[in-house]
Amino acid sequence: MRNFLQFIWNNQFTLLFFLLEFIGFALLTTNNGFHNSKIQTASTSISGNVADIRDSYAQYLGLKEENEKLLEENKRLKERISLREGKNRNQKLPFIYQTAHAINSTYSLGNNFLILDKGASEGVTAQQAVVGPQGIIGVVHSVSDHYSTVMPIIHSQSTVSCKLKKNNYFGLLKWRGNDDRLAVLEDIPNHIGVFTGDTIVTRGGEGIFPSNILVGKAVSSEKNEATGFQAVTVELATDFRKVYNVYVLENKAKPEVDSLIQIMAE
Amino acid sequence: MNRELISHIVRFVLLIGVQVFLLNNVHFSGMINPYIYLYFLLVLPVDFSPNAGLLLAFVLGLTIDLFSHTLGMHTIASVFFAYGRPYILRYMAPRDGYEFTRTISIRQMGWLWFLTFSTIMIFLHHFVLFFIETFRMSGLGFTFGKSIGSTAITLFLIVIIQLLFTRPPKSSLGYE
Repeated sequence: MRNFLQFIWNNQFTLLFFLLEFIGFALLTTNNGFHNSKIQTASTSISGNVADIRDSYAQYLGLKEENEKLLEENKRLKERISLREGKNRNQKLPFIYQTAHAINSTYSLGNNFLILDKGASEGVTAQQAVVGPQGIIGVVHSVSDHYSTVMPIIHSQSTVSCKLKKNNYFGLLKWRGNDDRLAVLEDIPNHIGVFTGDTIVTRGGEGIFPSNILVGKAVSSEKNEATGFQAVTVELATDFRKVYNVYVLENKAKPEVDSLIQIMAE
Repeated sequence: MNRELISHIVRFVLLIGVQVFLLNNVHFSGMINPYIYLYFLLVLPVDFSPNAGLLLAFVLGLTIDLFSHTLGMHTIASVFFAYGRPYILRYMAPRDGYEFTRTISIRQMGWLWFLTFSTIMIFLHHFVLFFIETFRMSGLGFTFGKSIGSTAITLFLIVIIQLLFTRPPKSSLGYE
């Protein structure tokens, strides 16, 4: 016992180091994945407030109101389109669009994020889709009362089910972490011809995104003879360096889709 | 001593402010991010308790994490920085050892010593940080390059801070 205590005393510096690093890694791992832990919510709230203060100074005052009007009008129009498309496909519950601003965003990190100025009190919840005027952006990751964070396509853990518009072959869109304009669509069979300029759109499989939202255009394709699948490099339609006006999409049918998937899994 | 404590606290708050409000929004050529808050840990006195250094690094890293939504990353890198610091200091000790009250600054330690020490320490921190960020062995070369670029920018900013904010020591003898 004496020796043990002596050991701890002699190595207090290293032991303290390991303890603190352990806490650090614990924080890091709870941060990834879809958790809404308390510290996560606190972090979202703090960084949201910081971004809000900065944003209020950075923005032209006159333009703000004008943009707001246009955004509201867009929202109404998009909802009507969504309703129309829903009718055509006998889809009873369309997507509900909500406008938001990306008050902070990064594009140069390995794991990028966006902070939106809408949160739980405006009805935003985790796992809702976020799209911009140019194309898809990402999925809501965590929410506090008035802010929410988004895991964009350009995050190392982001995966979105996408398809080739011309023939509906689908695969998973991932990001390799080194260029905010390029992502990779995996799991497309080798025998499918993919050409530069082919349009990639969302598949809408998980019940998060509507189908046929623009993702980007194919740039090149790398065939892997060993697996039989090719990886298509996609130039993203969204420019993450100037994301600002976005829409958060709530799928009224998601619980229904989820329960069906649940039944299949059991 | 009291005045020194106050200047440490002021430095702590100012550096966090600059980091969060200004530098987190700066991306040189899209890839390179400077992390100026390290300056606080870098210039702690030589005889500062290593344990207290670890705890301070933890608090500093956690604060930056909370503000920039990168929970855990800066904490891990900063604590690693504070752990390595006493060893590097011992390794780089001048022939006569450190004078007891010596602070770490260009004026006290000279250009060559300060630049070498800062480069090693900053690179250690940045490499750990970017490594955790990418978390893949395949991207090691990329992480390495990004660390070198960011180290250069951070070092540049730290030297500017040094030259701007450290006064020459007041000598009671009237000369230096």
